[in-house]
Amino acid sequence: MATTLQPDHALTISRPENQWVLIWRRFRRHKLAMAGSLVLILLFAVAGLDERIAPHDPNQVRPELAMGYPQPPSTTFWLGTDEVGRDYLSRAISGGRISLSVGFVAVAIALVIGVSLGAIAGYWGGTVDNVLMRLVDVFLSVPSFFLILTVNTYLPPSFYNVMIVIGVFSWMGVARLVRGQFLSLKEKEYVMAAQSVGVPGFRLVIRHLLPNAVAPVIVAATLAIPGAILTESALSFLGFGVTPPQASWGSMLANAQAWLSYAWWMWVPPGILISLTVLAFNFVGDGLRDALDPFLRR
Amino acid sequence: MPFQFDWIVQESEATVDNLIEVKDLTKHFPVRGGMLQTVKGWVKAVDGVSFAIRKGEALGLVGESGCGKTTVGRTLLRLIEPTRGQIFFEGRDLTSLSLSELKPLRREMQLIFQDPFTSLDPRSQIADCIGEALYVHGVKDGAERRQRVREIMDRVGLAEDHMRRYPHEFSGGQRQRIGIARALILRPKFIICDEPVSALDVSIQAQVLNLLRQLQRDFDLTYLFIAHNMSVVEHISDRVAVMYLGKIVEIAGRLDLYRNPLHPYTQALLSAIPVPKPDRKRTRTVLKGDVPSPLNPPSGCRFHPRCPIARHNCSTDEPELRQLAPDHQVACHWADQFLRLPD
Repeated sequence: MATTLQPDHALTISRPENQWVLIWRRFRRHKLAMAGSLVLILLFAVAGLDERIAPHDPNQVRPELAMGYPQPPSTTFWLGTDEVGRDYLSRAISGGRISLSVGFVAVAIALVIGVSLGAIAGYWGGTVDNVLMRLVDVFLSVPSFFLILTVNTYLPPSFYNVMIVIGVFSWMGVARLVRGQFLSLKEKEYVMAAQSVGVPGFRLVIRHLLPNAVAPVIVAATLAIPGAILTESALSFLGFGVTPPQASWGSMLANAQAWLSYAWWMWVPPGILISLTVLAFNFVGDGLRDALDPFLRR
Repeated sequence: MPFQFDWIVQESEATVDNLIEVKDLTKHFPVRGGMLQTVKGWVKAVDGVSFAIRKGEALGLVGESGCGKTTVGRTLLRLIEPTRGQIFFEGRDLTSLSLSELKPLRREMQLIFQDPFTSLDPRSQIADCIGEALYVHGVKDGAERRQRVREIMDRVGLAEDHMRRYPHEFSGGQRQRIGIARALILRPKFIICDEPVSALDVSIQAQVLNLLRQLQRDFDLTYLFIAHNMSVVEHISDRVAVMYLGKIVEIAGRLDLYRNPLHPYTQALLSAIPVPKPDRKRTRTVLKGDVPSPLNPPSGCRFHPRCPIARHNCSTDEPELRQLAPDHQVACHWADQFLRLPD
């Protein structure tokens, strides 16, 4: 035989490969996801800069200018004003800040609750699992939007309450997802290997189970953010969201209701912004799923 | 007690220095079904197995897939709780210990897994994967841990720059070396090798087997070597136990078992080893039928439906392990007729 046997360690590739680098490389190939991330970065930048780039104070009323009617876009007010003369562009920017933070914070709350309960249920199994999953069933069996609506009528209207309430009522999907992941992961041999050296349960969850369950959770979270944004918009639309002078995309739409046929500039911009954000998040979620998936199958 | 070689000449079981003694080890897995997940039956994966492993030896455990070999290995470490039976490690009964009492003993006994592709956490770097056992057992100092990981990686033939890599960057043989390093890092006395080479290419198998033998000498290890490949077991074992459907049917010294198999099942297994001599005439014992389900094993001797020499009492009486020759036990009513006096 002509082939020579090399010592085993001479055979490895000498290129250091971080798995996040590989994920980024695969994500970059996903064009829609890249476009989505770009849109999101832009939206976040604008929302983050807020009053620093907003042309006017979003809450300043100009009754003498509006005379009770929404004013169409002009060179001073690019997106026009509402019926009390507030600059609509500035309101859209400050409303975006509210909508995006509601999306993020609500999903963060849902993640904390969902991951913890899902991890507990999946790791311990048995009765604990049964009790927690029935709790999930109970939460899922109540139409959560009406529950959120009801709870919000009893709470003082503030956008912190909106975030918390949306978060507290949307952790069930994450809990189920994490539980399912844990149930399959804890049967893996590397978990048994860790147990055989005496790795305690908590460390097993933190070091071996969670890191391997993180990919689908990231995807689920990305896809849950637009849901939370839509819920906030719907709440604000119905008047249960943010407190009046403060704008959010949903409350802007609600405001536009009275002027639907008269003032297109009142509902088109917030409508487009909501759709664009939701779409962008969904594309990014799709891209992440594709980028992270090969690691799940490995 | 210091390491003793004198067991080789001693015949009496009592004076033999056993590291592991297993008595009547049994594991029945419940089979659940129906709406209420009630227990519909029991898979008798391991059904009353007794054996001993002497200090410093490698005991081979062979048998077909599904005969309970792996379950024996995992119950020995109580990774699976046994249904019944006792496991003595250096005279201490492991089955009576609580999980926290068991933890210090985990340093002494380790496991090498069959599949190097599923037994390494894909999200742990190699150094963490090997060093975690040290951390859990009190070596909290990072530098010391790295040093010991480096040493052990060197012993199993891994390079230092592999430490910061992830498992998917390695070949099967290298992954198995990582698995071996992980098992060795705590300097155990006893290692269960659960088919450590059966997932590897044939060209790599020999390397890993030789490594395991080298390590056994260097670290005074005792092995339970589980395999389904008779040639692999012959290569590494001092004594061999043959399992069939959750029972040990024959246990003997390696030379004795391979030259003079007494159980018809062992004979069939041995006759199935391919011999690279095309002109040699071979008598092959080909077993009829499949392995019966461990859910409902045959009555009497579990092997009787497939046994070429089964007689009237084989389907009713269950044979016990009997000593038919020095250090050679067989569970067969009719094995005596194969008995040849050692020449």
